[in-house]
This record gives sequence, C-alpha cells and structure tokens, in this order.
Amino acid sequence: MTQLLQALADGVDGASDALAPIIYDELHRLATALMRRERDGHTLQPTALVHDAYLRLAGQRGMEWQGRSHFFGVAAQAMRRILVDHARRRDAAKRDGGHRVTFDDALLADGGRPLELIALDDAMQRLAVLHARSAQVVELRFFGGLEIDEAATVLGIGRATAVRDWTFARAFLQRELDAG
Amino acid sequence: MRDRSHPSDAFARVRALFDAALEHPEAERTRFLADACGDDAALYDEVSSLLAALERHVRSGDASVPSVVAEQVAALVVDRASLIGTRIGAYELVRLIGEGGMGAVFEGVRADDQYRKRVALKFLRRGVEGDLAIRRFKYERQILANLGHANIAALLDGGVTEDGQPYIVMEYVDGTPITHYADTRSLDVPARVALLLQVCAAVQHAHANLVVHRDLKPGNILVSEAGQVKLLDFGIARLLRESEGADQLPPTIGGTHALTPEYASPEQLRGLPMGTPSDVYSLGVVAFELLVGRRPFDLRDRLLVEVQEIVCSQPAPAPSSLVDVSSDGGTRRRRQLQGDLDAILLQALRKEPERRYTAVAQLADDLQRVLDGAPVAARRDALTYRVGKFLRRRRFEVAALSVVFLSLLGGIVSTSRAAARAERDQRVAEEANRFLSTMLAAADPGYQGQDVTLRDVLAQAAQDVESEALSPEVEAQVRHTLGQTYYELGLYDSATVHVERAAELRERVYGEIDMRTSMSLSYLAALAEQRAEWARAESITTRVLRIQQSLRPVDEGELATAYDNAARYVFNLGRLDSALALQRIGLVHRRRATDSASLDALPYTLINMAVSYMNRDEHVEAQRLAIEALAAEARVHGTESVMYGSILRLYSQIYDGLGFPDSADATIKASVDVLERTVGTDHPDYLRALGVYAQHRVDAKDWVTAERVAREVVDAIGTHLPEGNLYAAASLQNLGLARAAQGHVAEGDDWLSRALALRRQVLPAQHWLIAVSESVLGHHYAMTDRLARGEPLMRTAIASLTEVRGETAPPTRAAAARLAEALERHGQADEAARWRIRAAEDSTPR
Repeated sequence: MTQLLQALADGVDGASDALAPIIYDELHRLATALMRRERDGHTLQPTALVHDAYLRLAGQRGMEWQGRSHFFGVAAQAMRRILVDHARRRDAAKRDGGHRVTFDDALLADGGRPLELIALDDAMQRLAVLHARSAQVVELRFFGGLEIDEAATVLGIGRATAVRDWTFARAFLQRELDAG
Repeated sequence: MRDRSHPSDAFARVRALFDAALEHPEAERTRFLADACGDDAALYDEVSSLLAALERHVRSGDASVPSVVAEQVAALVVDRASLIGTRIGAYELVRLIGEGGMGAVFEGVRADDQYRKRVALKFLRRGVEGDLAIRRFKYERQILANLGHANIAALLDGGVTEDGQPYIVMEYVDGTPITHYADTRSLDVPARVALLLQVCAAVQHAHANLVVHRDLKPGNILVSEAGQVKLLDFGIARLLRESEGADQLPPTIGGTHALTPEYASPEQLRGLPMGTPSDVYSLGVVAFELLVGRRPFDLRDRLLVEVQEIVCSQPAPAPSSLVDVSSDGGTRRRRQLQGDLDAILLQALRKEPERRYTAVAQLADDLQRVLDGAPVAARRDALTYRVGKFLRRRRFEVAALSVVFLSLLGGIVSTSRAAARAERDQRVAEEANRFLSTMLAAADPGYQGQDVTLRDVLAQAAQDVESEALSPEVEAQVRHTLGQTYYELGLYDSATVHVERAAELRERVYGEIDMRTSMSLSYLAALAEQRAEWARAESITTRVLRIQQSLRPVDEGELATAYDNAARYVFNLGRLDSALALQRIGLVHRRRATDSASLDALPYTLINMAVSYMNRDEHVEAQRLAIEALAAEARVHGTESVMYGSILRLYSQIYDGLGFPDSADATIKASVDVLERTVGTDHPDYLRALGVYAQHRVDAKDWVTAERVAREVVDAIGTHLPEGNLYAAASLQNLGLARAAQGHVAEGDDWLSRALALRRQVLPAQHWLIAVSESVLGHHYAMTDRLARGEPLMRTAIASLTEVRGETAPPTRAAAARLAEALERHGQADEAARWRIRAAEDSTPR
C-alpha cells in the first residue's frame, strides 16, 4: 500500500489506476461504518471521509505533501463516483415506485437530493468536455474537500490559474443547473 | 486547415473574455464586454450569461452546490442502518452484527418459516467488476452449499439483490473464537490439541471437496458452549476476491484485500496462487497461537512490505521457545510443546508450500499421535527434509527438447489431483516412503546437498530395491519414485529402467486401465520425448489416451493432459493437422476440468494450440489464444514464471507472423528478461528465447547482434543445451547466416552444414525442417556463386516442403523465395519470376 502511495507520489504510470479501487473500497467502507455511530446532527463532509481514508491507508508513516495531494486527486474521483452511483440508484428506486422489494427501497427512507447531484455530475461532464482542468478543480474542491492551493498542487498549476478555473467553473455550473 | 468555428476555438474566446472581464470592476464589465465582442452577439450573450450566473452563485453564498454533495454523503451513510427490518430474499434483517473487511454482516431470520430460524447475512463488498463476477459468484456458491460438515457453518442460501449486491446466508453460529474459548476455560494442552483436531476435520473435508478456506484465523473458528468447533466463511475469501474482480488486479493489490496478514501464508502474501498448503500454514499459525499464547511472528504495526519480508524469509521460532515461562504453568507447557508439537507446528509453518504437510489429514494424524503418545511423522520427516524436495513429484515437467522456434512448449506428465491421489494409495505409499526414508536416513551422514551424493543415494536405493523382498505394489511405487527423481536430475537412462519396471509391475497388479499404470506410462512417454524417440512417445501416449478415455469417472484434467502430450508427439513427428485436431479436443476437456491443478495447465494447452495455428499461418487465431494463455498464466503463477516467459517468446513470434517486427522485438526482449530472472542464463528455456531473439535479428539483417546472440546459444551446446537438441540446430543456422553475411563464407558453410546434419540426425527423414535447412544451405551456396551446388538442394527442399507442408505453407513459400533470389542473382529472370509468384501466393486459412 505504502509502496503504491509512494509510486503515486513519484508519478509512476498506472499508480492511480491501481490505487483507485482500493481508495474506492476504503471510502465506501468508512462511509458505511459511520452508520454505527450516533448521528449527532452534524452534516458529514466528504473532506472528513477522504482525510480519514488517507490516514488509514497511508498509516503512520508520513507521506510528503506531493504524494498526499495526488492521493486526494484519486480520492476525489472515487468519492464522486460513489456518490453519483448512489444517487442514481436512489433515483432509479424512487422512479420504480413501491412494486418490488429491493435493497434500494431502504434508501428511500432518508432525504438527500440525488437528482441535484446527478444534475451536477452531468454539468461537470459537460464542463470537462469544454475545459477538463476546470472540471478537475471542481472535483477536487467539492468531492475531495481540497483548498484551492492544494488543488493547484495536485494539478501542477499556479494558484492564480486555479482560482480563474474555479471561478469560471462555478459560473458555468451555476448556469447549467439553473437552466435545469 | 482548422475550422474557425471549432468548438475549442469558440470556447477559448469565451474563456479569455470571461477571465478578462473579471479583471474589470463590476460596473465596467458590461461596457468592456460590448467593446470586446463588437458585433458578435452570440459571444456577448454567452459570456454575459456566465457572468450573471457567477453573480447568482456568489449571492447564494457559494453554498448550494457543496451542500448537495454533503447531503448525499450523509444519505449514503444512513442507508445501511435503515436496512434493519427489511427483507432480503426470504430473510428479514434483524440486527447489524458487524462491519468488517468483507462487508456488512446482519443477523436475520427466515421470515416465511414458523420457527424463525436465525441466520447470518453477509453482503459482500461490491466489486469493480460486473456481471461476470456475479455469475462466477453464483457458481462458486453452489459448490460451497454442498459442503455439509458438522464443523463447518453451513452456507444456506445466497444471491444478488436487485441492485446487484451479492450476499450470502449462513448458519448463525453462537460461539466464541477458539483462542478466547480455550483461554477463558484455562484448557490444558491436550484439550487444545483436541480442539485443533476438530478444526482439521473441517478443513480436511473442505479440501477433499477442493475448497480452500484462504482466511483461517481464530475469528473464523468459533467454539460453542458445548465445545463444538464451527468454521465460518469457508471459501468466502475466494468468493470475495472474485466478486471484487480482484483476480484481475496485480497480486500486490488483490493480495491486500482478503487476507489477514498475521495468518497469511508466504505464498498468499506474495500474491501467488494458493492451494491447500496455504490453509495448512494458516492452521499452523492458529495452532501456534492456541498452544503458545502468541503468534510465531510479531507483525503489529508493520507495513505490508515488512510483513512480507518477515513471513517469507524469517524461519518460524520453535513454539516452545516462545512460551512465557513466568506465567502460570509456563514451564510445564514449554516441556509439553518441546519435541513433537514443536516439530509438527514447524512443519506446518514451512515457507515452501510443498514442504509442509501435504494434506491436513497428515497434520491431524500427527496431532492425534501426540494425544496417543505415539511417535509423530514430523520428527521422522525432519530427517528427510533436506532431500525431500527431490523426491516429491513435480507437477510440470518442462522438456528440454524442442523442435524449432515454433515448437510446442511442453511436457506435462500429469496434472490432476485425483491422479495424484490415486497414485498415493495409502498403504503402498506408506511402505514405499518407509523404504525410501530408511534409505535416505542411512545415506544421510554423507549427504552434502549435492547431486552427486543424491545420485549415490539413489544408486544405493536401486540396488536395495533389487535385493529387498518388496511386494509388487510397493516395488512399483518405489521404482516410480526413483524414476521421477532420476528424470528430474536429467539422468534419463536410469530413469527409464525404473519407470519401465514400475509400469510393468503396475499393469500386472492393477491392470492396464488404471490411473497408476497410466501415470507410469506418462513418465515413460516423457522420457522417450527427452531422448527424441517421438514415435515411441506417441505410441505410449496413445495407450495413455486410451486408458484415460476408459477410466471411470473420467478425469478431465488428466485426459486433457494426455491429449496435450499426444498432440505434442504427433506435432514433433511433423503431423501438424493431426496435432491441432488433438489439441482442440484437449482444450475442451481442459476447460471442463474443475481441478485447480489441472487449470494450472490451461496456459500450456492454449499456447500450444496457438503454436499450431501459427504453423498454419493463422496468426489472428494464434494471437487470440496466446493472449488468453498470458492472462491465464498471469492469474495462476504471476508474470514472473518460466511459463510466462515462454509464452512471451511464442507471442513475440506471433507478432512477427502478423507483421509487427517492433512489437515482436520488444516482446522477445521481455521474454529473455523474464527467463533470465526466473531460470538464469544456463537454462534451456532461456537459451530458447535467446535463439528466437537471434532469429529476429537475422530477419532484421542486424548481423552483428544476430551473431552475438546466436553464438551465446551455440556456446551452450553440449553443456546447458543437449547436443541432440534441435533448438541448437536453429542457432547453428543463424550463426552461419550471420557469419556468411559478414563475408565469412567458409564459416557459413560450416555452421549451416552442421545445422543440416544435426536435423538429419535427430528428425525423421521426411521432416519438413530438414528441407528448410537444405533450402537455407542451398541458398547460401547459390548466393556465394555456387549455384550448381545450391540449386538441387533448394529444388529438393521445395518439392519436399510442398509434399509435407503444402504449396502455400509459409516455409514452402520462403523456400520458393530463396530459389527465386538465387536465380535472379544468376540472371535467370524468367525462371526466377515463376518462383516469385509461387512465393507470393497467400495461403488461405481453411
């Protein structure tokens, strides 16, 4: 695991591909494990999950920031996939009505706004077609919980560029979501 | 020419203006934008709508979008808790028992059952792979469901929820982990050993059904109040891996998923294939912990790489040495473990899977002997430990003999476990082992771990077996074992004497249609192959094939192997079409075989079939099979195996045939590298790959490299490459071509003639490879101004190739091209043109 993280830090080809399923599993596990805790009314932030996953996977050994930031890049992507897949399942279950007894029926019990998340994901995909880097900044900020400087490090761009991308992306996404 | 209205151009203008507008104070933006856009109204609309959207976003406090994400996370988290009370199939979820690496586990009850039977429901983590994994999951589940045993928690049901989540339903077990159970009751050593015997019984039963646990640990071994042991999660680790598609991941990753490092075997930590010995190892760790109070290695707070290093290379300490003597009864316990139990546990914990107990039953026998106060086998075994590996049969026998570059890989003597079992007739095996052990013990003082001494030992045994009055069954077993050992040492003459005798005895005692007789015959065929006696190899294999077809129940793996072998011999005799036909049938049986040992042989079957297609010039089909072979081998033995290296060699030749010389080059280099790392530069397989590399360099007319590489192979002839090896012939030929091309004509004559002579010596007279050598030598003569000497050779070669391989076969066409080139050189343009046309005629795959 640590070797993989190191490989990721060193920019070894394929390291992200190799790590993605592990991170995906870990995030999923952490998210579901949380249900055993008391719900304390706090809104859960993806940031917390991602940081938690990172600490678990990297262990006690300190990773330099470079490796850590790359980890967050992969994790943000995994987190986006988990949430969007989940939202789509919830949405599908809702549309099906109550005819079948499925695993998904249980998901109807709670709130959340799956449709909005799906719409966001769609809009991000459209953004990625026009300007992939802006979409990546959004992914890192929303789903990885990174600050703008951190996102800039992950993407290997300057802070000013990251800020411009972030501003543009938010304008674009807001317009797309408002257009419904 | 770029289209002005290209979307990315349009976008670049929008983006540039958007960024620029933001540089201006808000009040001036509209003005700036209007100026900048001029009469491009569309551009103006686009940018101003984005600016307006940004304003709305900022006004809403930047909050709306991230909060959607956060809410979704929260929703995801509460999901599972709300599953309580819902129904999955016929079961109602009652309570969450745990959430582990394997996924969520719920307690459930059968809702349609008046007794409300308690069950445990496990949801396996969702995999990265889709339908295929789920199909496999269903199939495997069926096997596990049939594992009825009092000490195994029954798998009752299972399925896949409608949203694709696989789950299994197991018997609910009310118990405590074995170590906890024993400690809370302060059980003494014999009582703990008795518990282990129950565990062994369960594992043994599963192994007999070809199910490996893969994740044995105290947490999976529960003991009820009444003292009954129940094993949980049998085979689930495998299901889990497969449902995750982890088998497709590199071992380092797949390996980290479903294992508990403290109990994992060295092979498991390395990501290598795991069989029953892996369970034996884990059982050893559990037994160690149960008897000593701690595990053999302290792996707490270690990184996985460190764990690998420790478990794979540090020898396990003797259990008694780790007993805390300051504890209550510690001294007594140490004494109880010293000797027998130390020996038993250390044998179970050996690094090399084949050196542990070969079956859980043997471990159980030894533990029972401890309880009975009888002498244990592990202590006897320690004596033969060092030489033991020579006497254990190797599953695959890779023959050192190969015809040409495009020859089959091969020589698998036997593959299936059932066959191995049949051979290991308990009483006979025991007596035979006793005989061999006595003999090894007698020779032990002089044993230096060298072949020479082992040879002496074997020679002594060969004498003893004559004078000792052994029963025919036992004599057959002893001779078979001696034969195998000689075979592995490459002493084929001695091997033949013993295996022949073993086959005779077995046929007399058991009859012809018998697995044991068949096994001895298979070795006899392999020996004939080593001596290049293909006709004899073929006739013996035909008998083996008949036996395997007649045996009931049919052993699919063994039958497939017989077909593989028959195909190889027929192929070596030059009958390529018959070989392919046999391979096709063999593959059907191979795929039908469920025995894991037999599946290990799948790559052989596939790649050899690919070679047959190559020889028919059907490269696409060959490539398809080769890719499957590579994938299968990577799955079974990883990418650092001799077989993987050898498949790469053949794959490189397929690339060559498909007309991708660069890929062929890269692939053969990879092959040479893998083989150098796995078997070293003295090994025939390495030399074979090197030979192909030389061939590619010859084809590329890179004479300097070709010469260097071919010479390395030629230099090994007589030492690491047997002189009769046909592979040597190809390298002699390439060396000759390389020397001749660099102006050393006489040397070319010499090497090429030697290549031809060698082929004539070891191949049947009509073999097409002889013709190829004739054609090459003739061409060499003609191109060095000796047309009169070369032309007849070339013409005979073409006639022979046309007859044996057909007019459009690649070697025939190559021979025609050689003749054409020679004739052109000597000004016979018309005649040359006719041969050119023949050379260009494409073969049409049937």
